[in-house]
Amino acid sequence: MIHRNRAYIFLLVLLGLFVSCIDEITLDVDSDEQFVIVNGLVADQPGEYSVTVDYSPIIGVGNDNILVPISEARVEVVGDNSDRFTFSEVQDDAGRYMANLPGLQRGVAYHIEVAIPDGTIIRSEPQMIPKSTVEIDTIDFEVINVEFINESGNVATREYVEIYANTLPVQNDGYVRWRVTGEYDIVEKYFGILNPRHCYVKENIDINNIVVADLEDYSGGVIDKEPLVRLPMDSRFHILYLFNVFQYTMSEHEYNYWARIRQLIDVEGTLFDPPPGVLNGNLVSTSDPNQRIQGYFSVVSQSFQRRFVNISERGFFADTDCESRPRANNPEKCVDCTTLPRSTLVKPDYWLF
Amino acid sequence: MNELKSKLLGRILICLLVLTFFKLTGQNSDLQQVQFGSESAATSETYQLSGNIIDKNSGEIIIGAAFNVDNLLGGTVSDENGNFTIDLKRGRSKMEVSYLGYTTLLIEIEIYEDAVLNIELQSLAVELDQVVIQGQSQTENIESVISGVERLDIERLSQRTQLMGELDVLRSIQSLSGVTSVGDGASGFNVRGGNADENLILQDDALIINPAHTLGFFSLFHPDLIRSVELYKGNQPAYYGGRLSSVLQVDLREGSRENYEFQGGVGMAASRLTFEGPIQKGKSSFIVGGRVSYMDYLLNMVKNINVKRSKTIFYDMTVKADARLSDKTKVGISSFISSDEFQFGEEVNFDYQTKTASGYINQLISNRWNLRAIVNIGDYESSLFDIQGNDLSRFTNGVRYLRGALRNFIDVNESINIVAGAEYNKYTVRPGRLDPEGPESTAVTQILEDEQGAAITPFVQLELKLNDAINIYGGLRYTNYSNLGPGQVPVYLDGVPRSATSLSEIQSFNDGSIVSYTGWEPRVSINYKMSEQNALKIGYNRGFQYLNQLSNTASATPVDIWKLSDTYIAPQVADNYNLGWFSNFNENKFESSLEVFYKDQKTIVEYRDFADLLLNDFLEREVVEGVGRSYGVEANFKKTRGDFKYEINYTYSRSERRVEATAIQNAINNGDWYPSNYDKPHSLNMNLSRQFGPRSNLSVNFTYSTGRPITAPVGNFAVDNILNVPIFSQRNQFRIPDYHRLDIAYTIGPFGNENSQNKLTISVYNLYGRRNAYSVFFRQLPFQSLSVQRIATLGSIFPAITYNFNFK
Repeated sequence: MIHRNRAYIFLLVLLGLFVSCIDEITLDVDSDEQFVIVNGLVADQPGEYSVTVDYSPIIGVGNDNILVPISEARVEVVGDNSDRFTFSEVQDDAGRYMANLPGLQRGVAYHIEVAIPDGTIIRSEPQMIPKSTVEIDTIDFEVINVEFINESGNVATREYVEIYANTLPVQNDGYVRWRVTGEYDIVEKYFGILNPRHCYVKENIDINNIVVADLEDYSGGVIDKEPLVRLPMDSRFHILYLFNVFQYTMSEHEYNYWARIRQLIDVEGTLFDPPPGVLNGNLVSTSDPNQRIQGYFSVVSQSFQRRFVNISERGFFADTDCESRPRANNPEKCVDCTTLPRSTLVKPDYWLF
Repeated sequence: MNELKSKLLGRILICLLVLTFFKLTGQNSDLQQVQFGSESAATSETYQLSGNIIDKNSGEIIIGAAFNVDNLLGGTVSDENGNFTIDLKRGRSKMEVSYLGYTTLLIEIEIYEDAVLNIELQSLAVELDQVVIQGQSQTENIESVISGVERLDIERLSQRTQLMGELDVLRSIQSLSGVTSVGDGASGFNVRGGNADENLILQDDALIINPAHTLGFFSLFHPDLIRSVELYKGNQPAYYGGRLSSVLQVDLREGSRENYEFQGGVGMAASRLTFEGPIQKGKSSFIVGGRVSYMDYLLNMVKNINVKRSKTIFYDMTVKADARLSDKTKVGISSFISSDEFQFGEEVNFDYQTKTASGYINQLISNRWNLRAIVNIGDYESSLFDIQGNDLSRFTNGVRYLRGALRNFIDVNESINIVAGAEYNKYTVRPGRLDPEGPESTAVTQILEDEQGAAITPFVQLELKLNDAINIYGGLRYTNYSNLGPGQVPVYLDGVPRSATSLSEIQSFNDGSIVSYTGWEPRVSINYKMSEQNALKIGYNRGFQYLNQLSNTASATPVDIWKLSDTYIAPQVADNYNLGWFSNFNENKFESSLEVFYKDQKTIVEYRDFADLLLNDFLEREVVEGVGRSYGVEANFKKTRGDFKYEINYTYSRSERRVEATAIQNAINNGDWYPSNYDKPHSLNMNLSRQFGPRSNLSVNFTYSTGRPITAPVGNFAVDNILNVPIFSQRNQFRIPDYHRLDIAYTIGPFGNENSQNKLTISVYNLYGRRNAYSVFFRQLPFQSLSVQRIATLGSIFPAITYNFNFK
């Protein structure tokens, strides 16, 4: 949309026009402020849900991006219908609290209550699970060519697989956010291998990728070919790739929150950037109203679809990284695919072949 | 025979010498004789002589020409319309009319009745730019009542910074004390801590909404057409209003009434051409000037595929015609169009256009009364075209305006001048519409309702010379503004923030006033002349502003929306106070001044955090109301004559805002004062010009200013799949690095003959390649530490060569 592109346009035109440069400088912006962060999501579908409770890192002290987990917090989700669900801290994963929830009721408002050991009590604004869900119609993909300047300074192209969503029409306006995870299988290969094994690998593929939509912006309230995520067409597509698409229908407040997060992380630094602001989610400290609590407790309804991608169906081919050569000359994953993070030899029951 | 021959030759030689002598001296003075009435009919001891003074060749009025009479009651100077009035003793007088750069005219006047005398002065400028036409007298800074006025003629403009060889008004005025911008590439400028939309920008009295080409690197004003530039930084004459901070008046010159001439220049960024000449010789003239840019070749140098496929172009054209219909009547029309277009790769295209037309009539009603009537229509439109994806769409917005003014300049006597009249301004703002482009587009058409507003403002101004030491200027405007229907006004529940949930109804209005605001705008200045070369000036000025540029970016952009004062957005009101000490010395060769100012803004419109201003029917929900203040001190020192001239100025100033929490809005920065985006406490400018003979000039410019404020991260967090979301500080609590830059320009010429003049300028912008931060932003990639990134748009040396020519 035009709104999103505006800052980007001005920056790039200016950069192009006036041979500009971007470099790193030092600026004294150190601060000793530390914030409590609470993140969580519950939905109308039964399943396991998690909430994380952390302190933010202190800028300029040690590693700026490692959150400090808060253990032994009391975490509860409470419904207006008097339902109350307690989350328990996960062993070996400090600061993460989980609970198995039944599908929460549409039209009922829920909020979270968190009490942390330093005495801070945090509570979210009650939010209703939307009464109607924007359902996914289809998920499809395209192979696209993206141009870039290669190391020699010449224009080259690279192939990407891009998936996009189409939704079913809805009666009312709505706000949607997508999350996408990926899975693929890899088969071991090296010279002399007798029983190559298949590994099924899960990966996060939408880090720092926010895709939200306000149906009011779409003709007839139907989303048509909304691009969700784009991956380089590499060895992961050699056999089969699976995209898991979660489509959340959410409140206007939450939509605005994500749109603002995107505004904050998309900053290009131009004079034409919308200036950043103080971002408030839906969490407040009841013990100290002036304390800034970061994060968001999402209350959504969910539509889910899996989309297997076999690029050979469209006449494309992605080579494997593994060759019939000695073990030592192959990447480790070709010799033992279980060395890949989040891999398993157990074939998921939803896998196609 | 030989003796006779030699005597004859000797006499011829003597005659030639005498003729040559007379010719030479005649360049400095001409003697004319005129008589008005007959002695027998005379009944009074004094008579009034009035008239108008113009350049003989171009027909342009001459402001500030001096009239001195040998036996008289005092001299006078021509006013801003070139008019003068002087009381003469009955009988014979000798009057000397002089203006720097012109032949001094001696007139022997025999007067026995009130009379009108129109005068044409012959310019000494026989070569391009060889003679400098100064737009002010040498003691203007001491004599003028209003302080904070900067007048730039072509000479002062050409000695200032020239990016890519282009003489530029906006860039030049930023080297004046009290004038800054938020950075290289900003569209507007900030005067004494005011926002960019608080400047009234006029070109020959035609309103200019966006004065920038190429986002702000060049200005709209065609350098070859400029006669003079005036900037009122503090007090403003009573016939100007509607903006809180300043008035920038760019006067265009008139075409030559005697010869047809071509003038132009070829630069690295743009070329320009001007054609002028008489329509009816001696009586009327025209001038046409145009510019076109060709910067695409620079884009091709960039190793970015999208930039390579981008384009940028601007052009503008000015047409102006003036005619003297009689001794008492002069009329003129002018028109200006300008267009900018950018395309970035195959993603987006945007453009903006300005179109204005204006006309004036100057009518001498009596010897002491001159009437000037002005009418101006104009339109500014910008559009942004998203040419990527499946939601192809074009967003457009703009402002259309109709303006008229009637100004009566009345010289009551030698000590009292009055200007009285009224002005009318009507604006139609098109807040925005979004249209799908092409049948495949999924974008939905959205059209926001036009809004209209009109202000009628009678004014009166009195300039009183109390005695030799004290001059007083007083002005008063009564402004009456109405936000006009038809329109719809949302009504919200009392005592709660304005939002969709607090909306109770939407009221519809037909033609007529929806809401009105009125107010008095008093203005006063006092000049206490302590000696011939020292003056103390004090001033106060109140202003109302009804047309606001709503922007939630650090700098104004061409596609920013304009918003009229309405039911929820009250007019902005400001009181300006200033006090200045002015001193000249060494026979006015040196000028110095020290001015302090304070601006108290009663109401400001500020955006709330994460405001969404585009295509928003309910802008009142996105803005908050607060107060502002700016204050500072400006010190200037100039050497104005000789081969080596220089100007040095230093400004300390602050610009701050405050938004407190109310029942319907949240506070910004806890309700404390915070710096505005353009708060730059320290600013230093130096401009040196050295003339080496008649055809060689070197100018050097240096500028320094404190970095502008920014909002910086004070922490970060992760949420869901989003890592490193920055937690920002309160608004504008940190600063980008300081700005400084050195430029030089060397001009050779003019060379050629009477019919053909050429000039070559070699300039280097940013000589030491300082990477001044255009902006600073913060980047924290997943699993990495926070880094501070500087963007420098003009972060390297910019050499340029410009060729200028003039053919008759």
